[in-house]
Amino acid sequence: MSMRHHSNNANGLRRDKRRAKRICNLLSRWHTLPPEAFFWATLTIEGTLLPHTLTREGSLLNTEFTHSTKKGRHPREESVTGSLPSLVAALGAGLLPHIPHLNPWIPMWCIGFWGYAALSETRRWPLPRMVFRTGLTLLGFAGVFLSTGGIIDNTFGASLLCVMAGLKTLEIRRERDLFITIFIAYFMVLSSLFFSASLPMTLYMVGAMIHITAILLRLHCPGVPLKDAFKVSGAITGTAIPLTLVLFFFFPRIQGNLFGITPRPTATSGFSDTLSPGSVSRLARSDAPVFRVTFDGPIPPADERYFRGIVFQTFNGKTWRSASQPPAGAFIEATASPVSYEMIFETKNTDRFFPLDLPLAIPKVTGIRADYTLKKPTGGLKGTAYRFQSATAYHTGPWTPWEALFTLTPKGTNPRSRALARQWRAEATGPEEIVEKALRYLETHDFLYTLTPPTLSGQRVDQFLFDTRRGYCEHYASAFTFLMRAAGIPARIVGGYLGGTINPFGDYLIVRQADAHAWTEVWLDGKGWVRVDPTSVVAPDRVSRGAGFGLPEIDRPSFFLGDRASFLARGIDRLRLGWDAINYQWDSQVIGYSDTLQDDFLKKLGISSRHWTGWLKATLWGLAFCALIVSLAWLAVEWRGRKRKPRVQASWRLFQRKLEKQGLTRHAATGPHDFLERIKKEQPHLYPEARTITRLYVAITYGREGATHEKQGELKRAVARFNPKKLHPRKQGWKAGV
Amino acid sequence: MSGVLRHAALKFWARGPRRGVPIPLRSVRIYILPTHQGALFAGVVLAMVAGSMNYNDNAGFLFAFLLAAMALMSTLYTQKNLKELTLVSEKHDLAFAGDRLWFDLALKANTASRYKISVGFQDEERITRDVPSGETVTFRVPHATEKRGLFHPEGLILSSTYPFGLFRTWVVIRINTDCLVFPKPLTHPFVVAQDPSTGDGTGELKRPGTDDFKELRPYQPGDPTHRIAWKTLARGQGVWTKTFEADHGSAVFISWGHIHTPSRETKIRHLCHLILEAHQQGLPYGLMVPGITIKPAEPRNIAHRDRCLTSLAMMA
Repeated sequence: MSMRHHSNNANGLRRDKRRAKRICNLLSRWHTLPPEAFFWATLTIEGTLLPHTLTREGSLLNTEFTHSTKKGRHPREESVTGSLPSLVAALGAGLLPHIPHLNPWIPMWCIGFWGYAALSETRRWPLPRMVFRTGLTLLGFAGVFLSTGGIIDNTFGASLLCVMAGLKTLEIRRERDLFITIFIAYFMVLSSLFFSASLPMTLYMVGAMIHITAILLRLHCPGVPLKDAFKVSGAITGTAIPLTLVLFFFFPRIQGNLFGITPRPTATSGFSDTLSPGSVSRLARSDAPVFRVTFDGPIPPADERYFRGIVFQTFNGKTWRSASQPPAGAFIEATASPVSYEMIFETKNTDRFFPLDLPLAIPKVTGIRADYTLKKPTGGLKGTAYRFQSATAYHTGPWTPWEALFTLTPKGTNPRSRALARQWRAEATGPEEIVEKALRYLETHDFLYTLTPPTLSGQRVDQFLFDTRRGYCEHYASAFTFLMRAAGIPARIVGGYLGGTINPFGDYLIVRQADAHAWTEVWLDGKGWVRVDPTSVVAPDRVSRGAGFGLPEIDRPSFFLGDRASFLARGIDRLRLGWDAINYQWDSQVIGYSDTLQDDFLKKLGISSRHWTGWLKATLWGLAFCALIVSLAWLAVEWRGRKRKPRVQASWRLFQRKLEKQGLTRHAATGPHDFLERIKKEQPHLYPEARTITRLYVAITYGREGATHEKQGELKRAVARFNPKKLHPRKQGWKAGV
Repeated sequence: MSGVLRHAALKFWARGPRRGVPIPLRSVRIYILPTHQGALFAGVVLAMVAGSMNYNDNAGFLFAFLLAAMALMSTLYTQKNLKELTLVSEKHDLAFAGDRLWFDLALKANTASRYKISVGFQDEERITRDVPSGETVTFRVPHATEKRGLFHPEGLILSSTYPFGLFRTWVVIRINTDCLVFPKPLTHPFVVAQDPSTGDGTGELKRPGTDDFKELRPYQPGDPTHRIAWKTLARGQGVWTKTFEADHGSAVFISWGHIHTPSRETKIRHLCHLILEAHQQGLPYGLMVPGITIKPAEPRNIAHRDRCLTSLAMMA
């Protein structure tokens, strides 16, 4: 059957090929979609398409209603009247976290339409016709396209969702629309997590969930008082959180992508591919964190914490560039025991890896290049933890022809520097001595380490070395590399970060933009590439103590804490570090939760995820935890409803126990009133108080108002006060005496 | 197909003995399933989980799992909302076959307020209401009737979609109650037999006497307007009703033998019509059907009418 199909269906085969090609094209287009394209697709189905199918239905009904009602051409059913203000409140909670990254017209658009929709009911404003609504939809789409520049990314998706949320309120007609609108609100909250999943944002998400869910409850069951709606919603969310965590930590994580759809790397700010005076000092004024490092062993000293990011190759007299792609693969021989550590990158502040100099073991998603930098990760840098191993002392491999790149200097530039280099070369016996001489020169000629150097022009290296002598690390690295190359020693500039702040609360290292640094490497025969940091001779504190040290006071960034920082500033800094530690835990344990962390977690439970039985065990564990949480929640829910009556009953029983001691026992068949009569007859001195208690009890148990909180309290207090022993019966003798 | 399935499912759910009021719903087997909205919700959550798996997006996981967990936890509230109610009383009207039989079902919320409680019989109109804490709310729900006789209502469904409408919980109750359905009246010329104890017993075709004026009696609510003595009223002497009687003035028998229809059921329906007619006319009447003879009672006695109708309804 299949044979025949193959042999006589050449046309079909060609057609199949065409079809396969088309599918491939489609898939390749998928690859270019942003990471959250899948979500946005879901959102679009819910948020955009559904409203439009409804629009069509709505318009059908419109024609029926046009003549019958003057209120609007798009009448609302009775079940949705009065619901718009609450819907707007729900949507508002969704819009709020988006405001910072949306174009300002979008929040205005939303608020405008929401306001109109909310007021249209009481003011009897007309609701727009379908044609008009379609026009608004197109206008919204166009606006989003224009304001995002047509780039399909998170911002585009969020903008579209918010624009649709604005329009949706104009077509609330049936109960189903309410449900869909609540869904849109949920999605708005979810989508804000794509921008930032920090701890505060996640807490906001939980709060917003309670808020929106309470509104959903009120819309579904309008009889529920607002306070109760929030209580129930809060209780449900509260009990859902432990369950969420169990699902979260037990749900199997896989490495790589499920459907093979890889996200596109996102553009970020940070180190650029070029270095010219000013490019590193720009970063130095920002305290935004770039990455955090947890070392397996002790944290290496500050002057060994060089985090390598980029190597600059060529110089044109003005700018250093990393123009050509170095070949893959590199040789490193560690001369000390390697350091293992985990890094979590702030994806909005960097898009490349910054391993400790030099990396021995690197994550699978990247590869090492001949200049010992790492390739940008496939699929973009993620917020999860990456494991590295580095050698802080090393030898690099033999000279490769590719490295001839690091000997070039622009011809005819900076003659004075060249002359100086030539002079050193003539005097020195070997390259080490030339390096020595250059460092000595920088040390002894009144160079100043500053963030605000005078601007350079023309022969920039000459000007810096002989005239201004003021600069930041990039000036020193640039000048030093130029001198070395002019003296015939291969040299290059390395860009990265140096130092970082140790967070005492979490025992990890925070590296901020302010720690950005540029240093140099020279190639020495027999040793390979050797790191030389010219800044270390100008501002030794910068290297040994960290960013900010070594700078003149006026230059220090505002967030820098020097030795003379006030007690208050130190306190605030500790608070900030504590907060950072909490966030770091959150980012590394929750947002950065991955298959490797899950392996560790399961190992703690004694489960190995290597084998399918391990997964079965893990599933059973997860299910057991879920069952436990659900049954506890069930018990809590069951118990809460019953708490009310027992409180009254407990008071009533206590009252009877007190009377039993006086010889008054109520038979099960005796009602409270009959019992009171007996008390009156047998122990009349107890009657007044017993009457109060009995009346309260009867009112609570059988009365219209039922068991109000106040009455229960009143009964409890009355019974507690009631002490038959202290109430003495009137003396018989006295009575007899009368 | 789905109808058959539903019927089978209902039979399965409704098994077990009939129970009399009060019925605490806690003691009845309680069911819960997602609604359409719930299914949509589940679909969206699944899509979110799939997306999060693809991108290893933990924020997406957190959100999707939180939504799923909240839906799951809401089921506890859903079933609790229904379970804490008690069906405290059941009352029903009388009905003729083909009419709707109305039930008054009173539900009491023993503890907290209960919301969005729907009550109704299978495939019948449902009433949805809230039951405030400690109060009793009566739901008036119909049940269609088809044939005369005793009838035991099946499949009373009490349900609730509180709090979010994602899940619907329900109980199926078989109330232990007997509902009597009278035959559906079918018009027939008025034929009566004389009271066999006083008259000759021969069937005579007589129109109910409208020309034989008997007396004026004080107006009672429900008297037909054309019987009101308008002249007396106009003279300002109060509202009086004219009463008439048939020629004989004595009781008549509505008799099985006088209806000449081959179908037994049709005969019963005609007899039902005649009883109602006689009752409305204010005639003293009795009923004679094979095996049962009900002696005439005073006119317009509702108990008597119902006795006659019951005998007809219960005829084997």
